[in-house]
Amino acid sequence: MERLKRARTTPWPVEDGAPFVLTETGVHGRTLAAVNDAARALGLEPGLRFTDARARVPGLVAEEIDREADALALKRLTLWMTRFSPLTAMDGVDGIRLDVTGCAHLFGGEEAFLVSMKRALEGLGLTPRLGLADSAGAAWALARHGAEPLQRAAPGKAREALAPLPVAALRLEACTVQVLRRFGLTRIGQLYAIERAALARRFRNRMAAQDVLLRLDQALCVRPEPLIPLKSPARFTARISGPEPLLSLSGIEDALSKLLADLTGQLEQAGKGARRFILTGYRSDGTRATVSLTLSRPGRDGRTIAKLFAPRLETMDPGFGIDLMTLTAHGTGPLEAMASALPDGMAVPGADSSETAALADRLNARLGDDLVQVFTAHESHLPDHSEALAPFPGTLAPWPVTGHRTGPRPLIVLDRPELVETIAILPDGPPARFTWRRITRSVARADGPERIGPQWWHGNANGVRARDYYRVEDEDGHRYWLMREGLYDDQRGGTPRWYVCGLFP
Amino acid sequence: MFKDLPLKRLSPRMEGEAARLEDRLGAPLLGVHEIAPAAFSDMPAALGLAVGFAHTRPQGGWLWVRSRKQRLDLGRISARGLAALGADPGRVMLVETRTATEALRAIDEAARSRAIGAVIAELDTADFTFTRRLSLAHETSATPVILVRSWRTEGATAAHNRWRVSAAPSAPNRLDPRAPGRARWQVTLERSREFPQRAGETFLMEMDDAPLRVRLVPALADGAPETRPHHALAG
Repeated sequence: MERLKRARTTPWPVEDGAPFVLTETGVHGRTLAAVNDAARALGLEPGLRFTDARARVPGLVAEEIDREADALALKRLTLWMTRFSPLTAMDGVDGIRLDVTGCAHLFGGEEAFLVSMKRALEGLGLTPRLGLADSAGAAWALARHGAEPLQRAAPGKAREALAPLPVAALRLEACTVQVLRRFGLTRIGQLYAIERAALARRFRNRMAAQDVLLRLDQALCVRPEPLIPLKSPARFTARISGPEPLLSLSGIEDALSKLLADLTGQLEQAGKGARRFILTGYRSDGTRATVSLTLSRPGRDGRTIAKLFAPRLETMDPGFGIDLMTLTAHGTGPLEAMASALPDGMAVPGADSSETAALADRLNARLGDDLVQVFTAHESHLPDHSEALAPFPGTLAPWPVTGHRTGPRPLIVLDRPELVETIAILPDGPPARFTWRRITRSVARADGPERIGPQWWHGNANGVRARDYYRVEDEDGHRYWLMREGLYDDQRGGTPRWYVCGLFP
Repeated sequence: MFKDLPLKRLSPRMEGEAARLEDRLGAPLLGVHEIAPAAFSDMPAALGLAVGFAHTRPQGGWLWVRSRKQRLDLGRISARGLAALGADPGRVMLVETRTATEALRAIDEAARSRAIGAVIAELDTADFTFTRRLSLAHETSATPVILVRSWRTEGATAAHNRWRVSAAPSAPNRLDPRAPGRARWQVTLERSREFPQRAGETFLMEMDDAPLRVRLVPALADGAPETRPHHALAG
């Protein structure tokens, strides 16, 4: 609901303190999906039918909920929360779970950690409810059912902290909660006293009994509940936070050089280099700005990487200010043996392939990822399929020598064959003259044909005609690669047509 | 007008070696060269000559820069076609930029680098300043740059040589007189800082397969003269 309040451009429909609800249309008609504090005070709860709610509160203002936008905003917030812990995950449709093992002391203890987290979230215009405990289940219970909006169970004290909370805080289904209430079990503390076998017996449904035990065990750290993070954390990470939000490019550059010093140190200790670097700026308004850099081979030279990042930093929009930056290294691998640089004048051009890779990196950084390409060979007798382009793989490799010989191939291949009008003397020979791009050219000499049949073994060659390729030269010395699609008597269509496919130098 | 400029400086490497133009063509390429086709239809010939020039460099990759517009106008560069010319397509790093400005940046970056054997760039627009920049970069890096310009190219340039190329009837094919033979080009040295006294001369060049290089067609080989006076081109 608060997301909506911030995202709206039109005036908020109700005054402060007036009830307001969001509704959604389900199988049972229109029901309440979210309510504000004023509405809750009037006894409205999510799940109530909208008609009932309006009967209780005449003149209730309502709007349709936008689940998709909510989920997106929650995901964005979850990613932003990685500033507090690298392991974050969305919890349901309205919660975020963080594994903060080993993180709290960075913020000056657990209490201070929670306070700073609360302050950061309040700065975004949210009213968070935070819970911190030994287990995810206990933290969930404290956050959603605790008396205070900010509640913490000291290490080992989860059992005591959970005792006064209602059983619904165990993340149970509504019908299970109802069964427990029928037995008079409303508080979690009451469950501790009952023997487990006895507890299980009270349920007709085995599943429900196991569910209660599972949730209870999870909350009390008896059974583990691993967190699957939204994004797995990088092994090599450097982070820096400033006292003041960064607004300028020079500030970002400074931060980057410090981050690089840190990260390259880590990489050096591990004896590794990385192929991909991601620089993330956490803006103070809860969004993130990201720039990434891909090298053609693993590296860890801070100065080079900073230089390559330079043209991309301009695209990083600081927004209202970046107050935390992280740099992560991905695709780590061993460094290739470093060739020591020869003194000036002695260097043989091209002998050092790592310099070639460095040039490719510079070009890619300037012009866009994977813009530097190399040719790759494919085994196919069809001229169109015998070669392709691929991103530069880090080194140049000699072109493979293939066994079969083909006819002459032109240096330039037209993007698509262009139809030409021809006058041929013999039906199976090269044309005597042809008109291409409005100019008529007389053929002085010709070579061919090189016949390339359809790929009958692929089964879809029915109706595909054989192609005859000719190399022809006109009177001025221009050389063309002409193709006739089909033969005159192949009975696969009408008169064969002629195309220009390429140009010889 | 540009002859008055004190720009006849070549990189130190270039001065010592081959004083003769004919020797120069066989030696590993140095300098900034412009190759301009005589007409748009001579563009393949210009690219062929560029490949021949670059091939004199024994080592290192080639960076081939072109903009997307050139691919749409002319067509793709074919690896098999390069192989058919005797070049190794595995040496080529191809950069296809979105705009001509990006192409200028890429060429500039590559010309400063010692990492590669040659830069081949298809470039419609390159002003005097840019070619000057390249020839200055060449003085420190010694990486040769071959700019394949458009047929409209004219005016001053700071490149060491400008060659004007048009297609010529190919060499006689010994196996089949009715088939085209080795590619030949009629090449005019239009402007030259390296050999100013020979500017304006026209040569007939052909690709030599083994060892692959561009060579001048010897006089009387098949009736074609080795050099002709410049005015012969007009006809």
